[in-house]
Amino acid sequence: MAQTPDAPTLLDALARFLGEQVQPAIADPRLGFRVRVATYLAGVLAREARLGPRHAADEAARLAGLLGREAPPPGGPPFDAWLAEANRALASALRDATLPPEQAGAARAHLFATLREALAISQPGFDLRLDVERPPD
Amino acid sequence: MQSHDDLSHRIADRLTAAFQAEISVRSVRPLVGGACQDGFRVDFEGPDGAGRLALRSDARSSLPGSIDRAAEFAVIEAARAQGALTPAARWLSADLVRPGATAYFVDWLEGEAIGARVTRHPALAAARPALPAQLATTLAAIHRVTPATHPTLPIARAPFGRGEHPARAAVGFLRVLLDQVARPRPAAEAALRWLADQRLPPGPPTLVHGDFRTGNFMVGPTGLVGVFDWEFAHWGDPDEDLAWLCVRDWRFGQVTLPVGGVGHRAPFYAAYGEAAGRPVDPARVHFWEVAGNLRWGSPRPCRGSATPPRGTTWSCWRSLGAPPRWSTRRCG
Repeated sequence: MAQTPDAPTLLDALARFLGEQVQPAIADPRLGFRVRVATYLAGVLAREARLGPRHAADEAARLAGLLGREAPPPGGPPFDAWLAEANRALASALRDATLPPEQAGAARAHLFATLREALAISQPGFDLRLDVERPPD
Repeated sequence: MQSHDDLSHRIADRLTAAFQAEISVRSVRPLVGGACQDGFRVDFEGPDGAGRLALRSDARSSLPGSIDRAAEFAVIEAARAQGALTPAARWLSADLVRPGATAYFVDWLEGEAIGARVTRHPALAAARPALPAQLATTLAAIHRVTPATHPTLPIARAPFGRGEHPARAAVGFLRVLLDQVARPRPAAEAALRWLADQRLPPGPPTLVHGDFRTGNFMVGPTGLVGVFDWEFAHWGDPDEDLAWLCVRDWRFGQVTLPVGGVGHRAPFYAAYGEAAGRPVDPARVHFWEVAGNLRWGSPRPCRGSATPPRGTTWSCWRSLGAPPRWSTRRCG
């Protein structure tokens, strides 16, 4: 049975509390830095709780397409094991360059999507544009 | 464990001998951020008034690829002789800080080295435009030190591996790094495949600083004051240094400015080309930049083999008091 409020909501509240109430009350800059780190980590956990399951399901669907395998329904140990094994298989295929050439585009798109998903959790502000480096004006 | 008072006395004796004048040591303070060596700030009083030096000593344990202080001392002298802007290393001293540890003094530099301040602090706004060309000039000077000109310089082809082929050694080194990670990393494998497929031909080896990036040089009002942190110096491909400065993590929030968060590539490459007397091949720098990003994205154990938690937040995890055995940096 789902807990109310749910985990992401609780973690959001924890991150807000640390950032808005604890942080300003700290005089010691070193401790202040650690509280900022803790605030950030609470945010990571909130986003992981909120987005993680959907990202894993999407990742599994892409991997199933790339590797020609069928993914089990998302959630639970069999799904986690399948996902880990599929990633191992993709990693070896990329390492040994054994993916069929017609899969190269899909593999690249998958890697970018997985990167976008990971960054949406760990660093939502990360600028992923490939032209992020602009030449001088 | 010897007390700081004993250390102060030994330093006073050493400086008195070096200056051939009575020196009294006012304070010896550990420098923060020196995880790989013992570093101190030494304030002293002599016949010419107050002075300040840094003191670097071998630490109890060293990281793979790092050179010892005696080798560092020789590298700094060689680089300075070619015109590299780096503070002078003085008075190599055995057993000064600890029995068995070699130490040397370094001229104290005033300025700012903290990355985010170098790239963003308003007080350095006038200094930043000068930095790319100054960094290029100092890099070119460093790269004039070669195995041919300095055959006895006590450094290896590390940390990116040994052998005559730096790019191939780098690929092998990164293979070892990736193999240490239990979790499969498809994107890293794709990047390493790409690196291995480039078959970058080796050029003439030179001295490579090995950690030439924002955060490891001091900046003052007119720009570059000096480069430090020579512990990863090695013989290798000079383009590795140019590329490492451009690795995204060293842009400290200024992602649009690839050269250390302070400049654009074209003028930096042009300044280096002029100072080094050889044009920069952007494709070679790109190879080393991809290698640098992959290196930085690969956790490696400092000591021991604790398993870090999954995710990209290991440094945060560490700063909250995790066991210091893992580091996402070469120097935790």
